[in-house]
Amino acid sequence: MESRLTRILLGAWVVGVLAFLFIPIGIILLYAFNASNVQSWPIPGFSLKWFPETFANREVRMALWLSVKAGVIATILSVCLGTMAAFAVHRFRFYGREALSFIVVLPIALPGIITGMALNSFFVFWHLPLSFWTIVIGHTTFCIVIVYNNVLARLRRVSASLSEASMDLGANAWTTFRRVTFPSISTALIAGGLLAFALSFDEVIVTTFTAGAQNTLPLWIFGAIRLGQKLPEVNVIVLVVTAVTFVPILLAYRMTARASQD
Amino acid sequence: MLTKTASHEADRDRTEAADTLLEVEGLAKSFKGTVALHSVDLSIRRGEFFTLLGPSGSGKTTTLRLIAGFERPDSGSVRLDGRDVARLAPFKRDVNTVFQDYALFPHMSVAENIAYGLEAKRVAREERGKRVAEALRMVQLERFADRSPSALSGGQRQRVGLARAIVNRPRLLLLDEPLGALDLKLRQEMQLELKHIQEEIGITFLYVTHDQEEALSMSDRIAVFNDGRIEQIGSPSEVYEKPKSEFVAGFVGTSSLVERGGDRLVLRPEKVHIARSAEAFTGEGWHVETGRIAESVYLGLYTRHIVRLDAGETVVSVEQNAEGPASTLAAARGQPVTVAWRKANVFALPGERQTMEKQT
Repeated sequence: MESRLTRILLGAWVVGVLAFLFIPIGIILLYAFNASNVQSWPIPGFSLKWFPETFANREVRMALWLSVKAGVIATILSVCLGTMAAFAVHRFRFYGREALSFIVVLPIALPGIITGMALNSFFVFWHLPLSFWTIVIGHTTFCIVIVYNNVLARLRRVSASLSEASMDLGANAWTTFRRVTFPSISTALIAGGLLAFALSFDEVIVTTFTAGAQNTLPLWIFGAIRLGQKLPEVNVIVLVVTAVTFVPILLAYRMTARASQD
Repeated sequence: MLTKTASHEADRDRTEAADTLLEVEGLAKSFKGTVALHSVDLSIRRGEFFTLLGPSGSGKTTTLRLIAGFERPDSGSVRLDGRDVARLAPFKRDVNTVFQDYALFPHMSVAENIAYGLEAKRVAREERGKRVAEALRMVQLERFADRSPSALSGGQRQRVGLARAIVNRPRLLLLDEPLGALDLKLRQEMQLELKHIQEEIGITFLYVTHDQEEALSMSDRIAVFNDGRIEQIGSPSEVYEKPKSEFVAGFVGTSSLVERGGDRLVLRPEKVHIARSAEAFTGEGWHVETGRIAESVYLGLYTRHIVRLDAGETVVSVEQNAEGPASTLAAARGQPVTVAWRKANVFALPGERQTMEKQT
């Protein structure tokens, strides 16, 4: 048992680390309600005036729409591919199974800048114009990992005897998948999908290399901050992005937590 | 006379064939080069309670899984009512399984779980409802129809597992250590209940267990597995009284092995008598020896004595405490005693002698 003093010191350390991580985020969120367009602390007054102004900006609206579209499509693709990969690795013993598992997980371990450069040079080499679809492909590479890991973890926890019981009771392979296997992994699918969307929605590095003329929301923010323009609007957007990514992560967390209680 | 006997035997063979529900021949299975099952032959009669008994890894569960269709055999056949099903998918066989871990569908209610097989076989809704209600009644879970399996106790879950299987009225019900996860008291209750249900519905049970007491108390016949082979098939009393191998003698009940006159004798504790003097064992048919008490343990119902024979071996003897603890030898360590058994009650293992004969 550690002494009282150590416990207090450790507690203070934890509080310090959490404060270091979250206070800047809190301040940015607070700036969204700043009445002045100069970022200074403390803020002179509260106002909602930046919200309508931000949403009136056509560039912002287009970037938001592009981000949502890319996120949704990348999520759908990665849910399909990631689930199939998870099933293959879980269900079958085949040559190259370990290698496949490694290759699927690799994009999350690789620095985004390398994935981005590699994809970019691939597209350029094959004379594929950078477009909406190259963004989607870039995002899908690392979104697959999230779905794959989630589904694989669930499959490992679901007892193999469940599908055996279903077949034993006269259900063929398809009915077994539809009525037993799918329902028991569905929350993992949704959780994986939500996390994948959150990941895609705020991605900057890979997107930088795979986007053409288009701006996703994070790219627009990055550009705006670099040029030091429209900072009040950036703050509003950061608030929105935080909300949009935080909610799915919270939902995903609760879903996996509930599933592990059963 | 000769022809008459022959036709008689042919008659018996024919009724036996008609009575046979499951015929397993030369069933073999390896997993990644490790042989799980060497070559198993089994024949199970209609309406029988047949148990596969053995330690873990002896091949009993593999046999059951091959019959259920969860694994494909490397060789051999599984004939159900004369039809080889060894290579058919599980859903094409008229057998159902009760799993050790229950394998209830967690996202369905108790009633939905039970109805699952009937739905898969497209039984009409009305008939389905009737049969689910009947199955619920049989396992005494009428009040739990709408509960989720996660809200049930282990014993209740296994009743649902049983109801889910028998509602389909399979020709053969496979039970894979169904009581393995339950505590002793509940297990004993469920043993009785399983036996009653089997008698009530008349379905043939193929039961897998590593618990020899469970096997003895429930089965019509037992197949004792060891190391991927069947060592012996017989009724509980045959397997206990006349074990065919040292393994069976040791695994089913306790026994001491002694060698006398070239025979290896299986001495069951209840058949070994001890007394202070040889006078207690006058009369025909006794084999009498001397020894010393190594240890005596009072166990309420009986007292267990471990006796070191002067001939060298150690044997176990139990004495019922019919007259209370005072009547037992209450023996101190090292007390000399007379040990005796009736020759007619003691079984000699086949084996040693036979193999020697074969060699010569």
